[in-house]
Amino acid sequence: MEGDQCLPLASPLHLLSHGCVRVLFLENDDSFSLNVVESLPVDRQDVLVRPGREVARDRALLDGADVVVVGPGPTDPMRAGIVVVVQAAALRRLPLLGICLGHQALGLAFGAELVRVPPVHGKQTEIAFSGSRLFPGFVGRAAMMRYHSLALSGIKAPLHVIAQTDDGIVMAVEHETLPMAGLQFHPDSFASPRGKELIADFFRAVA
Amino acid sequence: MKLAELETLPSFALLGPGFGGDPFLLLRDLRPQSSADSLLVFARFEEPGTRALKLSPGTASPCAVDFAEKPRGLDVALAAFDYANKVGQIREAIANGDVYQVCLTVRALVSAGSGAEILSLMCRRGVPRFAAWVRLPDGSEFVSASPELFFETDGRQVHAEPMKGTARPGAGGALEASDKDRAELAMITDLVRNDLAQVCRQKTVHVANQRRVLQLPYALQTVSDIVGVMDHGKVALDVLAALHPGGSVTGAPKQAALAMIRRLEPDERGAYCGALGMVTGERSVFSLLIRTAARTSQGWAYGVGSGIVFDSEPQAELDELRVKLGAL
Repeated sequence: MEGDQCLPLASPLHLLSHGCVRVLFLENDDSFSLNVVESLPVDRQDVLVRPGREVARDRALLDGADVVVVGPGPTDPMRAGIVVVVQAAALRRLPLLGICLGHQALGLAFGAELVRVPPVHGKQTEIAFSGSRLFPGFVGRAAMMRYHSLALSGIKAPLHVIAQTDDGIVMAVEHETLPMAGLQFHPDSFASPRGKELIADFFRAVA
Repeated sequence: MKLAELETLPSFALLGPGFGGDPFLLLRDLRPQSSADSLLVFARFEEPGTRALKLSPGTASPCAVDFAEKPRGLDVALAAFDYANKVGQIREAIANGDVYQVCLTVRALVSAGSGAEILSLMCRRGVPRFAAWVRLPDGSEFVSASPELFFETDGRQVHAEPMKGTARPGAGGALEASDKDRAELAMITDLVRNDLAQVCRQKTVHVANQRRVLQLPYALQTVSDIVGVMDHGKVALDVLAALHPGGSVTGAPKQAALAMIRRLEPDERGAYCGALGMVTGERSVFSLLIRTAARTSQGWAYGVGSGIVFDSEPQAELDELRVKLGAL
């Protein structure tokens, strides 16, 4: 967009920006990363995409961001090396939305376990949302696309479960006080009809 | 024109109706060039799209083809060594979170026959839309009966049509009801959205059709339609660079799937699973080179493959490969 007011993400002057939200997106070797970027309620030019491993090494990259989105990817958050990024973002009290692998990283950073579940890839599931602070528009059921074979288990404070499948698999978590949430499913998929609405809900809540 | 006449040419491309032929287009005397108005573009599976071969023809003319009336059947042997074990390795990698789907391929060896004979066989029940017989200036040669539109562009519009999900003719109900086939296609649809977004204006990529059935003489296949508006300055070759190798022949996520393919498949795919396109002015059409036989020193190697997901059973996947052998 011509004439946009946002400064480059890394600028120390970012506080002077005019209402734009600068997003740091952690890319984790996935083939759905740009789908997530495209689903955010911001312009693509306001999203800085960096490999998750790079942000894990250079946590100063977090300093220019208004919102951190930890994207999906294969393996698990320990092997992907991104749990430390969630911990660093929590110290800075930065809003953070984790998707799939990013959701699992959020769980591991706050004491949950990661377990194998029956793999579900490319299938839509009805998910029950229990009502939450960071997704106020979502109570009740919504169909979302799933791509995972691992899931969080043993969620404990300060996290709590805000959505699950009918067979009890954790589908979303939220922090009690910090602006941090995780989604196990893919709101970015074409087969998640209310996915963008869900992400927009989070951005409004943490703005 | 008699097909056998082509055998004497040092290089040529005979392209079926999907490339704009009427019914065929014959390009003679292919020469490396990147700045002509009309280009034939070819990328092997293993080469990044940025290194695609760009060839301009000395002459290009529409032509009709006399096929052999009763092409002789060829001796075809499926070489699926250790197949069940490989499917098991992929399923374990999926359970471990390493990958979501891997397209695993094998080769069928066609012991004898000329390109003309193989093309006649492939066209005996109707000409596949991306039928092709290509001999490159380096002498390498392949014949394709591909039904898969990789992508096409027209001005700034781009359309991709990944194919995933296969059934025997008459089994359409079972195909449409299959959660496994639906999931295989959905995964690749999301992957292609991601790849197209690299070269499209933001928030213009969308799924025009989630799933529709294509009827082939020997099989039913499901495809989706993904469209977008290309960024200013982007051309068909940029789309190729973003999409190649096509998600429907890799699996997802692409890099993890490619790493497994390199580990599990003993031979390079080469032309098979590569891309073949015609770029003419503001328009382009690219086929994904499935149902493709490449000439080797031992005869012809015809590739067949299928997407392995956690729900895959080796026997059912082998049955699917045999359905795809039916194109020969």
